[in-house]
Amino acid sequence: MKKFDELDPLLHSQLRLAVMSVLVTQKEAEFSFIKETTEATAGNLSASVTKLKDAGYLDVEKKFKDNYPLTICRITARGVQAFEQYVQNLKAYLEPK
Amino acid sequence: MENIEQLSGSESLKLIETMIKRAKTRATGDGTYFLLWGYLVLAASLIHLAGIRLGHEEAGSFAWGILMTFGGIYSAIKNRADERKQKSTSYIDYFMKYLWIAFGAAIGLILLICLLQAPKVTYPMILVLYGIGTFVSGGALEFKPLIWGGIFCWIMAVVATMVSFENQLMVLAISVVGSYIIPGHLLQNLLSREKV
Repeated sequence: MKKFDELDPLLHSQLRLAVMSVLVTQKEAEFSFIKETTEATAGNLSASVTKLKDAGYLDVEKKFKDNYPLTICRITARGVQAFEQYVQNLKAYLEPK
Repeated sequence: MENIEQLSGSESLKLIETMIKRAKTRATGDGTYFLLWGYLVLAASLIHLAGIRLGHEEAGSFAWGILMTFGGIYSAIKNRADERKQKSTSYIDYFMKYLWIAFGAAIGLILLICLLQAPKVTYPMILVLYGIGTFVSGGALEFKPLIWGGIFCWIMAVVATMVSFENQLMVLAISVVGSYIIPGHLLQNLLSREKV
């Protein structure tokens, strides 16, 4: 049986896991969409997105829309793989042997 | 949501499920296009049929040109406005966009080819295409009334081959009620309940 501490520590956090869960269903999403869906504060979300981006799990694009700054996030192939592995490991951990 | 580090296994799975469901609900459209095109095709078919029966076929067929052009312009404007407001693009949205572009192109080609070469199979062929559009959309959205609507269109496509060209218009009208209008209203009701 897998040990609990073998779960990816980057994803084993409420907000970062929520962000990845949202983005795994979307081709891309604005920062505000992720914030509304996860009901996180801007500061906490920004910190989580930065950690996930630094790990290569997310791509973050900054641009302008109607003269306002806009941040768009996309999950990377590496991020999808990490998320799928996390879910598999979690299920293996929860399944009784 | 706080950035709490400690999560139990089952809490993690529950969180994943909740976020995925919330993201899908927020990102999905509202069935407007099914209703728009359903009512436009219904109106055009019935006006055309009335035109034929009253001896004014040209006036009746003119309705197709006006209503379909209106639908195309309205859809293009609404789509552009929706894309500007949209804060995310789901994989389903992306897939549906290309599905309906292909559908539009195919309808155009069928009208061009069939009306000139074999007018009597035009409406059956269009019903086959309608069936593909609604069946595939229903599958992608996991919404059974659209899937059934698609199957209903295919059945009506066969029925259309057994009736006169004039009565094919009635078959077309009935088909869009069953495959676009009813499922469109059901989808709109469902999505407005989920978004509350």
